[in-house]
Amino acid sequence: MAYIDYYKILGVSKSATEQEIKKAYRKLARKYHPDLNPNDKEAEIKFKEINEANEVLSHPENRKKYDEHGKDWKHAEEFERTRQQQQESRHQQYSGGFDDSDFSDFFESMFGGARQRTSSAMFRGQDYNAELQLDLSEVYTSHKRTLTVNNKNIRIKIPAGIENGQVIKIPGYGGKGVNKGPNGDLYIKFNIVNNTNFKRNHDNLYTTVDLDLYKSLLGGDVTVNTFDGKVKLKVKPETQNGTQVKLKGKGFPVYKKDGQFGDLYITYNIKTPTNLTTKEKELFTELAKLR
Amino acid sequence: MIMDTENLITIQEFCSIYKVPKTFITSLYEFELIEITTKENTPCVRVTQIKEIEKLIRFHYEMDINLEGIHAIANLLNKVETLQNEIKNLHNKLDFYERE
Repeated sequence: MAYIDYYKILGVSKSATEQEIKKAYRKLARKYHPDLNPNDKEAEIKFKEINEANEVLSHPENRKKYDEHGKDWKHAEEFERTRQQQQESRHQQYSGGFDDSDFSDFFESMFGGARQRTSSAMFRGQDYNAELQLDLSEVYTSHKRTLTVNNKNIRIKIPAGIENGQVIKIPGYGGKGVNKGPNGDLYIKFNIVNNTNFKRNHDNLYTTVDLDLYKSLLGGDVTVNTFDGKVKLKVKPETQNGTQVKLKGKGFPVYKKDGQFGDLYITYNIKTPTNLTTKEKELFTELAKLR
Repeated sequence: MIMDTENLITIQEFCSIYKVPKTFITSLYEFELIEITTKENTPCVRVTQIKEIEKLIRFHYEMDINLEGIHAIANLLNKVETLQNEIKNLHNKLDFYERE
């Protein structure tokens, strides 16, 4: 547990007045407040730091304790006693949906965990955010899954075709509302990992299939893998390397459109033979003479 | 009184819970930052708007930002959201080309 220099965090001197601290805090809060920095984890961390610094420095008693024992907090037994007894209310500070875990261990050690904080959930419950990692194959079909969010099990339906990075909202599954207020919402961000041989672009899938020289020249059948099984394709004679064919409806499911699928694009990669025998060389030479 | 069936909350009730003056809510409406619905001659806001209004309250009362500033911020945040979605899509597209 490292010592935290709250003065440095707020960018003020140790002799700063209450007014200067307030001013510095407001300035930084306007810069890093999560409302003004959506989906910015760095700003969120920074905001928590300045909130904590303000919690200490804007409160005369906290500041006094911090100034007196800050660097020796490990040895100050009185902190522990203070922690047990602490019941004073704290200064109002900016809210934004935080919980007890948002203060550092250093702060907890010195000032304890009990606090009266301003909550963003004055009426409406707090929103929860969660991340879920799934394999691409798991989002090929709609399925139900039980998630544990804030120690509560929630069974949700994951619709087929969800995109990497997509966020879905589960209304009412956030924190409980206060005074008959509505519950908050649960936001789940999906991280889709693609370990398949298919590349995905929205609903379309792309893959490469090797063709031998003779099949590319003379045509024939080839069996290819799609996402949900194998299909037999007819290869046209004189197929060129890099030729792309489209298998309609063999791509990825379209999000929230049951029964609709994107397309599968197959690119042929023609493999020329190697380690030719003498006979083969002779025959290719003959062929070359014909061109 | 909260009208649950309609998912509306009267502005009076809302202001009493959040301890903000009615004029603040009216100003938000005038800046087209929120919608006000009238039910039986009583002005209300939709419960689904509460999250957004809470945010606007924080801007004004916690961060000392005036309504003109809030209006500008709201527009910029919309742009940020659009750009973040675009980045997400471009990220997925880049991943598509980076894969073998």
